[in-house]
Amino acid sequence: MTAVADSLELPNRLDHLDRLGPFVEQFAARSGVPEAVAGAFRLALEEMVSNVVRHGYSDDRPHIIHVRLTREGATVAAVVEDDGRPFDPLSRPVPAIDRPIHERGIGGLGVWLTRNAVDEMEYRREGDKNVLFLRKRIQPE
Amino acid sequence: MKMTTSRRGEVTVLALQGSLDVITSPELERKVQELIDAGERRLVFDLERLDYVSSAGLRAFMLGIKQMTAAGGHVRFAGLSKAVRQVFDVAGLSFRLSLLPTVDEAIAGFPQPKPQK
Repeated sequence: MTAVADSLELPNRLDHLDRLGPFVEQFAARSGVPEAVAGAFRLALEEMVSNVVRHGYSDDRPHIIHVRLTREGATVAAVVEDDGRPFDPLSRPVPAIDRPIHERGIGGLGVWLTRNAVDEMEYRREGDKNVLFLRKRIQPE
Repeated sequence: MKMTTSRRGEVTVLALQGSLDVITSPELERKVQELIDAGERRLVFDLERLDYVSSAGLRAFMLGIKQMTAAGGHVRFAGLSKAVRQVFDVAGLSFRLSLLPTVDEAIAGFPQPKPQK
């Protein structure tokens, strides 16, 4: 089966994140990815890209965040690449999901939701880039 | 995201339609604050037409719950879709909150107001 791939370039601005939903939807339609898997990537990408926008840069210059989605057989993969400062989302603390709401802080929930949405997460620092890999298998019906 | 407010007796029902994400969640935060400022103390989030929620949305809900509770109020949820419920589950919120299938059931579950002497 031929692999299907789509790419998106986003400026590091939160208000551009509404392009992720349509991007994932179009990719899913093209590649036949079921809704539940597409939804998982829509969530994962919003969480990971918004982390990059919020934590990745210490300057005021515009930056481009590269997002790529691929389907090869039963595996769907996403890569998020940015040129921000070294930032490993996997090193974020796990949120206090077992504490009552009034005892919980704000952070860490995005990475936690992402971990649960996909099968594999991998981070690498490659030169001056952060590269994040997400993979999920489409389960047979 | 579209928000619709309606009243059923003492209860405010806030229906969300569309996606609650990093871009739309500030609207929800403002709306809940507005309702609290207006004196509302019984709030049902009607999520029947909400098809997507991210951590930003959950944070907006948690902030609203904390504020409403601090003001002496109560919050309940209705109509979560399977996908939205799963996000609540993963975040450890489901067993801490009142999640009901319908708005009617959510409204019925509020503690009764104390009788006036």
